[in-house]
Amino acid sequence: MQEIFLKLRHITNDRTLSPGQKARYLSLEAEGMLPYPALDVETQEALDQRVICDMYEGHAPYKPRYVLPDYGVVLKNGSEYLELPVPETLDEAINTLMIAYHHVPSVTGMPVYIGKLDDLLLPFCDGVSDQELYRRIKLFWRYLDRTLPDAFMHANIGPTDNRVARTILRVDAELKQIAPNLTFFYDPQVSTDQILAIATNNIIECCKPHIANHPVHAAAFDERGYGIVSCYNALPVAGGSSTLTRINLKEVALRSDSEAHFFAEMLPRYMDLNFRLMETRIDYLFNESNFFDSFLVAEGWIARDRFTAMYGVFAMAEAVNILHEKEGRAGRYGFDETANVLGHEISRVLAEAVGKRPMDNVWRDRAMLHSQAGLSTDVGTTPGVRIPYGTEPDPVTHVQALSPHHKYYPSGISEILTVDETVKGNPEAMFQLCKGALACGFREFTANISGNDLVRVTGYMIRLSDVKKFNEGKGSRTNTTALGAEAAELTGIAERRPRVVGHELSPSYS
Amino acid sequence: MVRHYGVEQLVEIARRHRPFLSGITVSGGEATLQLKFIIALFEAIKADPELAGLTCFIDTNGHLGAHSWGRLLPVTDGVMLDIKAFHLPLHRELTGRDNVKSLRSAEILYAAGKLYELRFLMIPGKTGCEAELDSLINFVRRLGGDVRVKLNAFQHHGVRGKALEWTKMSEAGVEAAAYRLRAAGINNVITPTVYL
Repeated sequence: MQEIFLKLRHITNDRTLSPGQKARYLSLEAEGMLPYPALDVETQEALDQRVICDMYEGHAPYKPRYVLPDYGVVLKNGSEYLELPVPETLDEAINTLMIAYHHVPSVTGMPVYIGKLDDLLLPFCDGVSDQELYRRIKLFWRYLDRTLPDAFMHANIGPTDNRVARTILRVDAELKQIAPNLTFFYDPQVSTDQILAIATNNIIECCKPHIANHPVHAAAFDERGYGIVSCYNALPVAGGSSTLTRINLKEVALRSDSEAHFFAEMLPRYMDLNFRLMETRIDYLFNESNFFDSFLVAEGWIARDRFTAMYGVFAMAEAVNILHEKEGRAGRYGFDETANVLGHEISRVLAEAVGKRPMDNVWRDRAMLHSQAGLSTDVGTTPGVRIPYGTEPDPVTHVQALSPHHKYYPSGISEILTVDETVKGNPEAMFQLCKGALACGFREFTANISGNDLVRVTGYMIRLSDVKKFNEGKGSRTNTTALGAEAAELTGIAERRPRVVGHELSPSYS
Repeated sequence: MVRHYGVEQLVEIARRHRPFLSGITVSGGEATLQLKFIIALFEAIKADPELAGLTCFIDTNGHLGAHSWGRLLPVTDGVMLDIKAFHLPLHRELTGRDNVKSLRSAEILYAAGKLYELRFLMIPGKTGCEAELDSLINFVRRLGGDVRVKLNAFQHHGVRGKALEWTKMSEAGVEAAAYRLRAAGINNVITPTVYL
């Protein structure tokens, strides 16, 4: 007891935390003092060894992990519980949303979904000038970042090209805030090239928005639609996800004698245990916590039967490489065709098993497979099915190695493509890379502009640190021999800057 | 490192990358040294149904005569042309050749509507001087002031030999030159976004 008091005291007196943050940490400690919902021995053991993982969601799930209210309901009906009249103007609509957000729980205590903002606000924009719209969105955006400062809070726009979406993209690039996160739904049949270009230019400017492959996502959900929330999670609107638990595929591979043993025994075993962990948590939420007595359900913002369960996996790269070693094969995940195909097969088997297992209190009675993007505490594992950071091949090879996974992960999968900062000189390359990735079946396109040490200049790679050393007169270990002799006499690489993402023949750089 | 490719291999690579491409550009070294190959490659790309819509561009120093351009241009959508220097002795010093063909190439390409971009590499104390910039301005005006002009800055990465003793071109120097071109009525001037 003494030890617990010390810990709590440490929180209450912490110099670096705000009172609100202290209250939250204290509540997490309190929840952690409760006994975990009863697990069978095997599941408990797998959880203790972190072969399966509950994402540290807490010991008493009294709220779903992700809640995606249908905010259209409160804009249409107002709220009796919150004593809100039906909004009639843009100001009133935004004000209603601002109030609503504070009543939407999630695993972080902050809303992870703030709505499909263009659909929600467009009906209130008649007679509002562009200048007024811009001013109001800017204030709204500032409010969101300052009062709900969580990078997992997520706004959605698109796929149509409309005033609200354009204004949001303009404001987002201008303010460059962490919050809210932003996803543009892209549909080649509906979205214009112009708005996609605005979006991809924004990526160059501030690494936002993410671009969701709307037709692919829409096919996985129903007519009430889906939202992209938190980190690339696709979930039913007017519902969400009760929980996310995940399998560490690396640990499963380590416990396997061979590839055959992995598929025949170990993977099915740990998949089953992860199902049991999910079921236990969902049972508590639905049968013990009384969450669904909320006004959110009574007023129709959410429905009890629209909560899925996210079946997460991660460390695919390590699992494949370990199995390859056990089989005496050398090829690495992301680069070797056999390794990539093994990865795709693991994803297929996972998806098939998830599709077969009926679950209570889960939307459509089945969990949804999810490529989980990691926790800050993960060490020695790569998020989801990604290629280990810093070893990724060029963006096109990257997309082509991973795109066959995407059809298996309806509740979300993401790769982060790191693109050389020289793309700033050729923004069309980003646009084209985005279109190409989505055409290859990517559910989601996310790119970062590096800062990376290793950068691509037209056809060949250079290390910025090498350039720096070189410029300081220390010489470079690797002078780029790929430069033709004639060009090398005179050509600064700045000269070769355009079409950065176009020339993707892998260069031989050592 | 040298690798050898046939036309069919490159077409196959282009097919594999098709969703990511809006066009291809051949660069170098000096791409037009492989004139026959480029013509065959561009013809193959234009003829391939899967590759329909891809543009074919060339990055060149323009050391190519009218007859060769006549063979190449029908399958070429645009050319990025490097003028190394205007003053003849300076051009000789830098390249060992004269620049008559390069300047003539610019005229041929412009007349054919295929001069996508004129590139000029600024080297302090050499091509970065006022006289060279004036020559560039006059040349572009004679061609037609609407030419897209790209000013590049001489840097050291990838450079060998005595050129390493030359000073690097500063961003301020390039921007000052760009200002001068624009003031002279050349509106489409591009400068580097990153200095490496």
